[in-house]
Amino acid sequence: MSDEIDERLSQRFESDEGEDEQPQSEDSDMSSNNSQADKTAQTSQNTQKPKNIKKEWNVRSFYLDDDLDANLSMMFKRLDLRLSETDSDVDIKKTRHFYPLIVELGLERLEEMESTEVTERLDG
Amino acid sequence: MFRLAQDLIASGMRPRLRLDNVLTEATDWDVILVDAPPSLGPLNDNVVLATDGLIVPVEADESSQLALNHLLRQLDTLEDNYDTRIDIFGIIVSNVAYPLDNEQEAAIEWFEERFENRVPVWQIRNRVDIKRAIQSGYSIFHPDAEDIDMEDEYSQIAQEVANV
Repeated sequence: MSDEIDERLSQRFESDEGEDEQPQSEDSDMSSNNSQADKTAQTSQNTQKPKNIKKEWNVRSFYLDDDLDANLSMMFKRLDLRLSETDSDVDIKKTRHFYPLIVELGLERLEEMESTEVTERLDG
Repeated sequence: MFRLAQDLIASGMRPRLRLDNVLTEATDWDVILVDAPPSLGPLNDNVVLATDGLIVPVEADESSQLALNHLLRQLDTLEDNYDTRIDIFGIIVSNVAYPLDNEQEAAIEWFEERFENRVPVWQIRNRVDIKRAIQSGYSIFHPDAEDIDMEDEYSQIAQEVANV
């Protein structure tokens, strides 16, 4: 039985597995030539590297109120539309691209903020 | 109940594409999750042909390996007959009870060997709080639900679905 399953699974996933190897070779080129890439570009490249982000990355759950949750969804739709209008090759995915980008940009912004600015924002 | 539903489906035109016809019109939702019946047949075929991909629930035992074999055969047959491609998004090994006995451990390894590096293999442990939440009619994420250490696992599964 296992042999039959293995055979069917390899046929089923064969095409996907062939696609895995290309990004890895691209990654090694990128890592040696990324000095001129800005942070946003690096984010985009880094988030595209792993085949299975659910296994290779870490999961975090967030609880957002209605407004923030709605804004987040709206922003993703707008960004998706904006990218599609610019003929970008990026097929933006929420988990792979959008959420990490939001967190990274948020961290960069927090890095620049004074403590008082942070507390004011939290109070607001 | 399934027998009656299957007879009804089988009596119409394009019996295995009924759900696909319905879902084509359903554009108001980001994600539609269909809980397919456990047995293979016209009802299950409808779900498989109407959805973008499958999350396959199994248990850590040999009978689930046999069921997986039946499912893979059925998917291959449907793909051939309907000229389509059916994706498997992930495998959920449910009802896992720690400490694992030898049979469970071997079965989990068996699934991981075959699916890891292809699709995620999640483990949902046997938790009485999950059953309690279901019996109370709400999700484990409901404010009144007990804190369950499987929330992150369920979040990962939901993200996988949302990310497709």
